[in-house]
Amino acid sequence: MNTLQNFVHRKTHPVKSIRSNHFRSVVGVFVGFVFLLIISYIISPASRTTQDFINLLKQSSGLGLLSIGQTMVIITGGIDLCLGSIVTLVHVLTIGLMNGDPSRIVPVCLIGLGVGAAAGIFNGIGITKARIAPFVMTLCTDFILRGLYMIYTKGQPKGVLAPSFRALGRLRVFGLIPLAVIFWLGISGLFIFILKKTIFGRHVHMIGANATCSTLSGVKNDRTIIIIYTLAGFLAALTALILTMDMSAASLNLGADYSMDSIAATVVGGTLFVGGVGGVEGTIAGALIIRLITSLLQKANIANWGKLLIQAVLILSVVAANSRKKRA
Amino acid sequence: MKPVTFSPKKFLKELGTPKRHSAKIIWVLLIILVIPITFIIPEFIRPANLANVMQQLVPLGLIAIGQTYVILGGGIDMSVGSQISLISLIASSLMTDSPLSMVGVTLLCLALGLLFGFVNGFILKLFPMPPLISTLCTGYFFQGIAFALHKTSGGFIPVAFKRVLTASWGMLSVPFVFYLLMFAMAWYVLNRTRQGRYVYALGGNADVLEKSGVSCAKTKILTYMVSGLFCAMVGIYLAAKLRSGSARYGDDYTLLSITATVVGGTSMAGGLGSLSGTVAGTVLISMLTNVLNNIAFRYNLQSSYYKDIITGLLLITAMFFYRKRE
Repeated sequence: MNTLQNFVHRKTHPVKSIRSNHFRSVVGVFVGFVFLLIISYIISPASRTTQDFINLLKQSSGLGLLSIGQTMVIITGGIDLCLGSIVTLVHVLTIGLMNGDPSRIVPVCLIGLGVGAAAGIFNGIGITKARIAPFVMTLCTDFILRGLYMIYTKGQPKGVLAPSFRALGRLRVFGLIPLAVIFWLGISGLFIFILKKTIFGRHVHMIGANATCSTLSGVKNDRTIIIIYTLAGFLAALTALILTMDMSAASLNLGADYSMDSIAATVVGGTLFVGGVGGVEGTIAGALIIRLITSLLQKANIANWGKLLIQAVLILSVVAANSRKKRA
Repeated sequence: MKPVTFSPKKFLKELGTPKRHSAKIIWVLLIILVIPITFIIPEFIRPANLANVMQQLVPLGLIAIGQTYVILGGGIDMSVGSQISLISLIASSLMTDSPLSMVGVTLLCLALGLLFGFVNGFILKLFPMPPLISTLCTGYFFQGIAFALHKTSGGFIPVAFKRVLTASWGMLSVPFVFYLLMFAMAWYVLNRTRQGRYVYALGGNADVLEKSGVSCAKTKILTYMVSGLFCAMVGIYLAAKLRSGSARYGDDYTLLSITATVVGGTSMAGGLGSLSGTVAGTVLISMLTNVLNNIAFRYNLQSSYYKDIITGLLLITAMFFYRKRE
């Protein structure tokens, strides 16, 4: 192939040029978000309040947290289609097992996180050891988890939350910022650091860019990929707990849209499907954009189908634009 | 011509390292499975039940034929479920009692199916992106339109239309005969015509196909159009069978069709596999569904929950079994 020629004749350093491209696209996403926000303020002047912005942040926090895992998975060149089912399963388990008893909060949360991580490990082992394509493996897991939570709830979720657990959902730090937002931004910051500044983060990018090359450089691909899917499952479970804090009753539809929403947030945030390029910083803005669009559609009262159409077109156009860029 | 021989030793060896014509294995597995099933559930081999199975496997069987074309060509169609739902809604909202409208709407739906397939293929022609992503997105798009169309009721399908599409004589029924006919046609096109060879070549090595002077893009679009056409047929059939349309009819068919194709020995990488394997995969899934329904009925369980789990595990097992081949 002429990859080598390209490499030699390129004026700038290839890795650097990809990185600066990525930096530019991250800035672009944030600019896009501000632009959308201004449009929404023009459309509905009533939403020009701090409280409304905080609400937007709060709505985005669950999706943002979940999309961190999706971003890492997509950077390694995979895709995770079962995150939504993990959210629902952990959600119904938490409410069902807690059943109003405050002393059970800690063990139930630990069980929930464990279930999420276990689903992730299952995905990771299937993808690495059994060599199953990531989307097939995670789609199968999605169906298995869906069956599990339907069997557990028998179609009618039961149980109530402990009052002190619900109080956590109403808690406002400094009387303003919800706990969920703190979790989201804090964990995003942590993973930005991990992906950019640690050896593990380098490995994640290397596997996505060129898996053979990373094996030859001594990276344990399989182990890294299993860790990534486990983290994705774990973060999905954490998302479920944070979303559950706000709920008065269990719902079987809680996680339904999250798989697609997280893919949309990740892709809009500048992470490429080819693997090796992207980061959590863009995903923060991606999640904000997706939730802003959702809330605009809700105001227009076409949320249930308009969201599907707009997200499909959004993902397709972003991926299409990037595919042309990559080819040139 | 080489004489066809069957030696158990050779078969066992093939079982360890499944090769190209692995459809044989799945057929043998099917026959072996029937024995314990008849012991556990004697009702299974009653003619009435078998006729039932034969009728129930038709929608999945048709979709799986289209999915096999796409997967053989190195792609994947994640939008089949949404296409089925959308077509069923379009059919039910447009059809009226007059025979002319029945024929016209059917033709329109088939044309729309071809159009949906064309869109899938054309996006891939314009932009080199993974087929998984593009068909997932078009699938969401079709699903969105279906939700928009599905306002309060699922529309109306005339009784006469249902009678024609679901008529049966003993073991044979119109849908099953139609399925056999479609399978024969699809098999002929895939194995005896030039276009069929191109599909295998597209999945096997697209570069070589392009360099031999065949348009890869055209072949790819054709495979997606085949899939779209079969989706349209199933959409019309499901709408007729239940006499209304719904945005939820197709939900399970995406994963089920992939499972039927992969269980039947078609490689996800494309270029390897056969239609007869897909039929075996379809029969296996339908048989398991029927058995599951029987067991669930006996113990008063909700079978659809277990069906999801079993489908997922079946696909994982099949992928694991065929992993050595690449």
